[in-house]
Amino acid sequence: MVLEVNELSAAYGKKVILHDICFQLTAGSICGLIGPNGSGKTTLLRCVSGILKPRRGDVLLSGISVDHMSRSKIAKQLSFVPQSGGVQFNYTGLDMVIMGKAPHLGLLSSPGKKEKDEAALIMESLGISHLKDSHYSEMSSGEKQMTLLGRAVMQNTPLLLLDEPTSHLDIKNQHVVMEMVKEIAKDSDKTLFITIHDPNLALKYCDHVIMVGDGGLQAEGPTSTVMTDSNLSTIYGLIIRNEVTSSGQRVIVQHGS
Amino acid sequence: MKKKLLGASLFLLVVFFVSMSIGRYHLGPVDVVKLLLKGMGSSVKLGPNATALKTVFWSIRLPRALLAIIVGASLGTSGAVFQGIFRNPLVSPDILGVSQGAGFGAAMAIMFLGGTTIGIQTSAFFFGITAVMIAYGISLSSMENSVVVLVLAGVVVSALFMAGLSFLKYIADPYTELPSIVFWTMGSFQGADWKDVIYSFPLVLCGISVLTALGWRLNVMTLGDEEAKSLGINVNKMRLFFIAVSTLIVASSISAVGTIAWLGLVVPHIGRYLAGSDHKTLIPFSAILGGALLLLMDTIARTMISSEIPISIITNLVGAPFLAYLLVRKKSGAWYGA
Repeated sequence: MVLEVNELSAAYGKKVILHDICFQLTAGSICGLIGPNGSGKTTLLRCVSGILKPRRGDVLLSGISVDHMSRSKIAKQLSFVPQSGGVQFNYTGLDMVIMGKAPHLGLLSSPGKKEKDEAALIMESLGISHLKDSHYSEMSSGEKQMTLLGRAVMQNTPLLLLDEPTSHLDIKNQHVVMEMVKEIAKDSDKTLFITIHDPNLALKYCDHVIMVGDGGLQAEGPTSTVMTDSNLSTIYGLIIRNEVTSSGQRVIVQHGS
Repeated sequence: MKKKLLGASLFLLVVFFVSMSIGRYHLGPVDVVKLLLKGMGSSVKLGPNATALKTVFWSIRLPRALLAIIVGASLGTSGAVFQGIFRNPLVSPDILGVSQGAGFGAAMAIMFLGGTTIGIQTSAFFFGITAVMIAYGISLSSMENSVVVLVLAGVVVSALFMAGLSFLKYIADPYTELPSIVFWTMGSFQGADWKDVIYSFPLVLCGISVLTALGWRLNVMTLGDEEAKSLGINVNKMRLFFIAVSTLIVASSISAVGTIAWLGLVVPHIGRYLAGSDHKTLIPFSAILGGALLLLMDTIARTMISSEIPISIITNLVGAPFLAYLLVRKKSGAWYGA
């Protein structure tokens, strides 16, 4: 089991954000985390990556509790792809990807030619070689997201957490990034745990879905069985239906509140 | 990377020869080379006034120049490190209260410990470190262990030590003690001797080497706490280590010569512009550049008019307009979103 979350509850001060969350992720799958704003998705990711200590329950990475792991141990088990934020310094795309090597290098050592070549290879395989010499701070949101994905691949961990990778992207880039995610899961047998807002993207790309609403687990399991009209309608408080287009594709549409 | 460091070293060398040559007692560049060769055991002839040349060179100008280089290097280095860990272009060691603490310590020594050089240095060093420790302690006891809290804690501590310093100035003897306090807070290399160089050199050299070795880790830390954590870095420990080492080298050098303003802010900016943002290069580059610039400013301070000008007047005159320029120019070559 790559990730196991047992009876997890989390809170900021007195405010309880999550309660009694239980689920497991197996190797080589894409798992979507779905829920309305403020339902605790980011908090769950923060608990999984050991940045926030849960109030109760625990998180196991490959069978070991996150609580008992050092930062560098955790960083060898899971990599985190944040929403492309602002970086203050002038690093190139290649520099950013190489930083994924940090948990694998000794304290006083720094990356050399070997790491540089490895990073270049990863960028090539993801089809982003053209970003090698671009300055990260001048990239578009899509390019930033792809560079950060490259960094997570460089980090070479069994589990990758992605925090809303598609939320600032146009429709084309959303699919480019999600195709990339699919490639990573398929090629290297990695598990990707992704928070996602668009239910149709989840429908198309995720093998499993974990649905949270109001701080609790609403449903979990294979995507097609979780993304039902009633589950979606309950967590968003809207009338939401699965429909089939004339070309036979399943889509999720909102009908009213 | 090597080319840039070599370029900076050449600049330092040029400034060094210029600084050695000019002054009330003129020494030509040839004399300087001869004196250095002689010092290394070669048997060159020095000419008729050899004794005077030797005294000026070995006892006055050389230690003073070396001390200026050491102090400049430590200010440049720690400025680069602080701007990196706080991810803020307007930060320098002063922000956590090192200078104010050291100033207070020096004033205490001047008034209550007889004002001996060693007393002033020890006391300035002690209070400089104490100021930073208090600031760090405040940030640790706060619920939110963030950079903003740390910087604000630095402001609080600086204010407290400023108040202490003002009080000491108020009760100081206006004819004997007050001038020394004021003179110390403006900084000067006038009394520099070999002892100062020997005290500060090993510490500063070790500090700069360790910080350079950790330079790439610092790159990762500039991504922000959560990202650095997810890349396996123990952010709180590393930050404390970076602050401790940079504070140590700054405190040891300013305790020898007094407060020197602005250099720690300005040097890393020029460094980033010329050598890029990779701290592995930026830290040694800022060290060499800081050494060269401070030596240049000190040479100006001692030669511009017939008596010495306190060094901080020169560094202020250069530094303040430079900061204004940074504020006006919206997008600097190396800083974004700042």
